Amino acid sequence: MSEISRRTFLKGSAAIAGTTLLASLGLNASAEADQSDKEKAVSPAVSDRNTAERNAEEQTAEQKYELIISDEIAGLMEERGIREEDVQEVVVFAESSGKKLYIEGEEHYLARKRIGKFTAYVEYSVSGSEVEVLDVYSHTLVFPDDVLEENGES
Amino acid sequence: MGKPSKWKCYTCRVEMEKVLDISVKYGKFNLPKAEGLRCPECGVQYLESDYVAEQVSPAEEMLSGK
Ligand SMILES: [Zn+2]
Repeated sequence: MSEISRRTFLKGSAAIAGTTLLASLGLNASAEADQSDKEKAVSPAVSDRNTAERNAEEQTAEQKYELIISDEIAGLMEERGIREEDVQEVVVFAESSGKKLYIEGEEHYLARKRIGKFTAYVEYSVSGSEVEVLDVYSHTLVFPDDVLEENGES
Repeated sequence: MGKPSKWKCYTCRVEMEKVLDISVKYGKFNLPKAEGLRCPECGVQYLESDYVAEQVSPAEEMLSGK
């Protein structure tokens, strides 16, 4: 799938609601373009943890989950240019590394992973070996000071 | 400190905080700070679905020249 089609996920109503950030961008994007990035050092402890997580990811790289995708979610994936293999990749990464968010008392998670030039998010629930996909979305933006992204994992 | 969120960081087992100051870049451009979730312990950051649909996607569309 081309990068362009991956990004065709705009909701009809979103164009209007997005005017706030768009207006800000018009004023601020070029003005801030020359700002130098803040370089943050990664502590040895963080590096060690990330290395261990990468190893865990490699060990389970072939692991696949049985994805349950409703018609509604399939439509969202189509609209947002997110493929089933992208969803699988995010879930495998999250489950193998533990890099995810959760809701207390529920098997309900939100995970993200940088895949090529975009970051894919998957909200899902786990029941036994089944993973029910509850939401998917993505963005091209990057987080320059994010610990995961600095290590190329997010 | 941001407001607490329903989400917790699985690594740190603490509540994610809702924040308004996530640094984001599009290509070489530093964009205005974004709204999202940040773990107060490890600093991992997430954008939420509605915000991406309503704010980020239109901005990306504009910046990509489409
Ligand atoms: Zn954390």
